[in-house]
Amino acid sequence: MGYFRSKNIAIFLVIIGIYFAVDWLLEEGIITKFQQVNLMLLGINVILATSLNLIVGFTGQLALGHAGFMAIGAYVATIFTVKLGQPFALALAVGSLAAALAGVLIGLPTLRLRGDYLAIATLGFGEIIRGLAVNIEYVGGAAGIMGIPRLTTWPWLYAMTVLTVVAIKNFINSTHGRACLAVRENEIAAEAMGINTTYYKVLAFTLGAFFGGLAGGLYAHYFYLIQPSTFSFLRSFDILVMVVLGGMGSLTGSVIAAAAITLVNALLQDLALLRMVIYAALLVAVMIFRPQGLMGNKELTLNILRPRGGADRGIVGD
Amino acid sequence: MALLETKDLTLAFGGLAAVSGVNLTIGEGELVGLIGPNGAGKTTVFNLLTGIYRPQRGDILWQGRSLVGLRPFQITQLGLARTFQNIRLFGELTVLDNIAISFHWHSRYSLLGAVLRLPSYYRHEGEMRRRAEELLELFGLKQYAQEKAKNLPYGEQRRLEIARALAARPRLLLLDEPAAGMNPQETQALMDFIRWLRQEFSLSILLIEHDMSMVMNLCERIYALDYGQVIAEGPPGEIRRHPRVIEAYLGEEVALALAGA
Amino acid sequence: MAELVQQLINGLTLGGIYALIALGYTMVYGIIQLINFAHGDILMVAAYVAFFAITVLKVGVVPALVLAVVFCALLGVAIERIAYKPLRQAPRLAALITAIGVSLFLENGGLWLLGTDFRSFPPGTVNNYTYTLLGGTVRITSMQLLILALTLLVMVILQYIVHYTKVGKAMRAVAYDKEAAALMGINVDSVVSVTFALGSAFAAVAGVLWGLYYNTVHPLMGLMPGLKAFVAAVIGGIGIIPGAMAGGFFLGIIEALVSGYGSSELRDPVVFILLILVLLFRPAGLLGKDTVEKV
Repeated sequence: MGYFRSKNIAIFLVIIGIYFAVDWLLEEGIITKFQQVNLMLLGINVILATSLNLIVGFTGQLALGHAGFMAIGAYVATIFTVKLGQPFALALAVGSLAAALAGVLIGLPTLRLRGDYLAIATLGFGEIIRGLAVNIEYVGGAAGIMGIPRLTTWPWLYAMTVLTVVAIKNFINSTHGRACLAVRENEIAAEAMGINTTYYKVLAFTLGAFFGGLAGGLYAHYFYLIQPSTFSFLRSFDILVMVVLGGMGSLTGSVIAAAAITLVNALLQDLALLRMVIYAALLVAVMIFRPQGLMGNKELTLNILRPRGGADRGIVGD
Repeated sequence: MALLETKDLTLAFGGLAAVSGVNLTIGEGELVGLIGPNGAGKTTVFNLLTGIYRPQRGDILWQGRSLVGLRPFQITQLGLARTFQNIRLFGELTVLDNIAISFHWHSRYSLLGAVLRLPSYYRHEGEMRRRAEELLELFGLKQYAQEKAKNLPYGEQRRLEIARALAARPRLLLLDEPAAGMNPQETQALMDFIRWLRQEFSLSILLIEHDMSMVMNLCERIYALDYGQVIAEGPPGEIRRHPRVIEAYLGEEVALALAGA
Repeated sequence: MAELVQQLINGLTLGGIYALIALGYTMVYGIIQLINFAHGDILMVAAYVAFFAITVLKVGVVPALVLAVVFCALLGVAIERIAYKPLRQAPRLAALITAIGVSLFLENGGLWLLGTDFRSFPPGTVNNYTYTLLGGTVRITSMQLLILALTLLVMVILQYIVHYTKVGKAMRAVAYDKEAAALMGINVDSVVSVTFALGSAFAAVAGVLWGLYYNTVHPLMGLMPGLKAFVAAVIGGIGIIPGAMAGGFFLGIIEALVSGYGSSELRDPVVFILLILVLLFRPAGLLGKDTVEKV
């Protein structure tokens, strides 16, 4: 019962093991500078993809403004470290909470809208955030903020990534997560079964925004520089590509797709443009030939694949 | 006091009265039928009772308290659950999860409890799972527990919908054409099942049904609806002989015959 | 006063181009309820076709425009056949994501094939005269007049097609009820193709005009105009042809006024705030009512 099942202990050991293995490789300098950048991106992309999947894949609300939440997290966290001299942990927390708050504010009115109208409204919201950043001198306008200290270290990144995935996974496999799945499957029936669908749509949106903001804070404190153009809707589309390719409603799918895309990006560094053409073609092909994505809504578990609606034992088992 | 009472319930869609001046009363433990030709407004009545539509006039009283203006989930939480004419299961989810979702609003652990996997999570999830399995057992659906709901045979889907509604622990169950698409044997079995349900869960039931023999045999009282109005009310024996009911149904049959259907 | 008139002229010019693009969005949405995200990128393709026709084939502006229109009409039909048609029965989410995919494909394909450079039309491609009004305080260029004239011409042509031709009648029927239209013997697939061809042709006109007006072409040039035109279509009431026109002009004028009296950097946020307000308070659009003309 509870935390101390053998499976949980095994998973815990694997998580700790990966941490120390990578830490050792970094210490020994076996991982190059270039690989380090991609390692950090990988973690950030995993956070972005899993949190967007919570909104799009598990709750069924097509939102195209994830870059906006990322921007809020990045800017607010940066203001706290650079302008106000606060510790990184506090900055990350406040950045994520600010994004979550934006999630509530934008979610409450817009989540009433039907599928494609919601998509457009959230896309518009992301562009408004970006437009505001351009117009606020305090955060550097279009030039953005430079010289952000590199506070996102491997321990921070790894801890936050694991935290995000485990939190989302635990959420989905609870009665609250099932309520979100019910909204996705049939909103009218969900409401008729006593579920406050508005509450759960906004909740999923807010949680997704929170982790999107977290990813933004981590991003800002690794890459020295944030600019409004970093967070355009093309970035929201990039995240969506990961979610769709991995499988809407599959957390492991999102993790795998985020990791795979980051790795392919690194390998095909010189073919950056062609690579994007291929992703785009892949996105169309997947929708036509395998709309369920790589993993469908299945999860990769310790006992191979289980045909569950994403509501069951995920990567970490239980 | 009646369990549920409607007073002068009225709703029009763009000038067309779908339901007008409907007065229904359902007492504790009653099994009541709602009949009427196609388009008479039966399902609209259900949608009004469950808060999907809001009446333009009239009131719906649940143990004396008005339901008008409440959202569907609030009405369900007061003890009124339903099935749908066109089955609305959570298709991609397992049969077990379909049931568990209806237990949701009875669940007693918080968001934090879920994310941090506090002991409350394990205790209540275990409890919910056990109760869901019990219910599936009662409905003879246990062997499907891990199947996706959309993969169930039609009859089992109908049964799962009833099970799911019951999991919300209603006092009044609204069944919208539960026998649709069933053969006479299946319908007979369903009738026995509904009687048993009422006993087992001490329910009141309001039933929309097209199958006359089923309604006549099953229900204690029947409301007949035509053009959104109650044209007759009473025990099956009276309804069967009621001239306006005969007219309404005969009218439909004649119309169908003329249309060559 | 002169300042205001000047901004209105600029706004009408921009709005005319938005209206041209918005027509395609609204027609496609009316017929198959899809937000064709790739529509803005058609504009980019058209600008490049015209650019290469003028610089490589050394033809004049008019043949270049015709070439771009024909090419884009075919491209629009091809996109629909390849990417959207297989998904007509799929959930709308799938179709929408596909449209995003097609858009990314065209943009990145453009960047890959054509490079990231901004290119300009050779000098003298169009003879641009400037006329002054109100005693020299207000300026209007022949390019602006051309844009307004072409926009109005396209709208008249479209109104004619929709209301007075057989194919227009079929389009209205399909928009109203696809199944019923099919039962009445209308070939829905052809109607959808015609819609994409027309919509893409209008976007092509807009693209060539845009390229000439701002005298640049770039693979991502369709992004913002596409998005803005979509906003225009929503503001006017998506699925309604006069709505797209009104929305386009309305948005163009708003943008010109914000740029003129506020700051050009506030232009985009204002447009999107407007979008969200309309979606929240009047989701059917400014011209949207129950009795709408849908195509």
